[in-house]
Amino acid sequence: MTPNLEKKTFPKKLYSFFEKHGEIIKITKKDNADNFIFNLEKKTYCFLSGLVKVYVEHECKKIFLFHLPNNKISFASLPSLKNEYNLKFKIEIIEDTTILINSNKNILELSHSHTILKNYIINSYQHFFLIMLKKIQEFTQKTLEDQLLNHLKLKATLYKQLEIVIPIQELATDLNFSREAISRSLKKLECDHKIIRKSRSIILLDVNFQSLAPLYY
Amino acid sequence: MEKLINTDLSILPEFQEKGLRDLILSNASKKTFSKEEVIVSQGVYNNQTGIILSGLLKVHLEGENSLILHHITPNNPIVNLMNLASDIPVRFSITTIEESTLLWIPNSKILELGNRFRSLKMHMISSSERNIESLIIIYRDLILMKTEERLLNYLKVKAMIYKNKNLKIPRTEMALDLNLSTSTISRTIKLLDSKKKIIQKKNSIILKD
Repeated sequence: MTPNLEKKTFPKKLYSFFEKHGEIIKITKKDNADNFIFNLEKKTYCFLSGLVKVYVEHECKKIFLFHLPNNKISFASLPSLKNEYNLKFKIEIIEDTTILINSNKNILELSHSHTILKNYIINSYQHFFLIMLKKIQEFTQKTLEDQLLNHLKLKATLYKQLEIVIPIQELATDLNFSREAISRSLKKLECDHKIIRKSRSIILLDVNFQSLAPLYY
Repeated sequence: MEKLINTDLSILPEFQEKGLRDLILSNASKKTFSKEEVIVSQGVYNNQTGIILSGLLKVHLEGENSLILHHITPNNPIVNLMNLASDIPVRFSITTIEESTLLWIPNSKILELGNRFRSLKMHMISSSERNIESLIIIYRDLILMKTEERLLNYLKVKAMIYKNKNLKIPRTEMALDLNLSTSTISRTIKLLDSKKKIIQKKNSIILKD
């Protein structure tokens, strides 16, 4: 499956800016697994195309936060320019990804002289804040079935198809529940005619993509 | 609205760039809020940025989904409503815990001043990052922590803020702050007391260690 993100328009001015002041690289899923390390303490990464998952690590446990890039804004950096809480972010490449890289120091310095960069930071941060708020509200308000269904819809939006190939373990990690709880919830969703479970995939029922767009994070 | 005087910003030593304080003062309105006053309401448009001069604020979600997000003190004075990039309603409420005095500046002016003054821009970036990071921490704690750990951490934060281990917080307030029922709060307090983490008194809780 290929996420339908390549055609997202990255603002030309911002792209030129990064071309001039930073570095643009392409990372494959294999690079990420083998040797590419994100140095989030020192660098800012702007995800131009492809797909990554952002986690925060705590005591050897990964907590899934969101996907990047996303459809609200076609560019994003992580909220780690100053990182006063010392959160340990972790990035996992899902699909080959093009990234614009610069040092946090440079980004902060350049944001003083380039309004486009300052606006980019403000916009990204507002967006991250809204994503995290939505996740908290979902976690406190919604049942696991609802959270799981939303997550499947999110995946369907990312991949633009209603048949989703995803291991139960990945769903368990993404939603921070046990595999058993995820299995029970999938069974319940199937009984409620929301999905069809197949041996290696899940098919979403009664969903149109237009209604899914706001779910994308 | 109160009259502004030049010494109002003397508690903000970091805003030392020439002309910044004067421009903030000439564009701000100053207001003092009494204890437990809702100063920003969730879902309402409010295109301003605050600077807290004194007092203590609580940033929280309202309704069935009530939850405390973080506190704001003059140590980190920017009250960033996270709507600088676009005109959207504020997604949280802010309530005073103590009588508090704030300056309010229109977002358009803050953005303009942020372009001119490095120290203000750095404060805006820091406040945004703190807001995001506090949400990540809350989400992490909701997922990973047991109720007793969340309550104990909450009490530790309150003790740190009030600089006092003897805490007088109503159970209904704790329940709203942690998105738990009052009966769960009561059970958890009893459990923490039995584990000697706190001492439960009639009208207060004493944090041990």
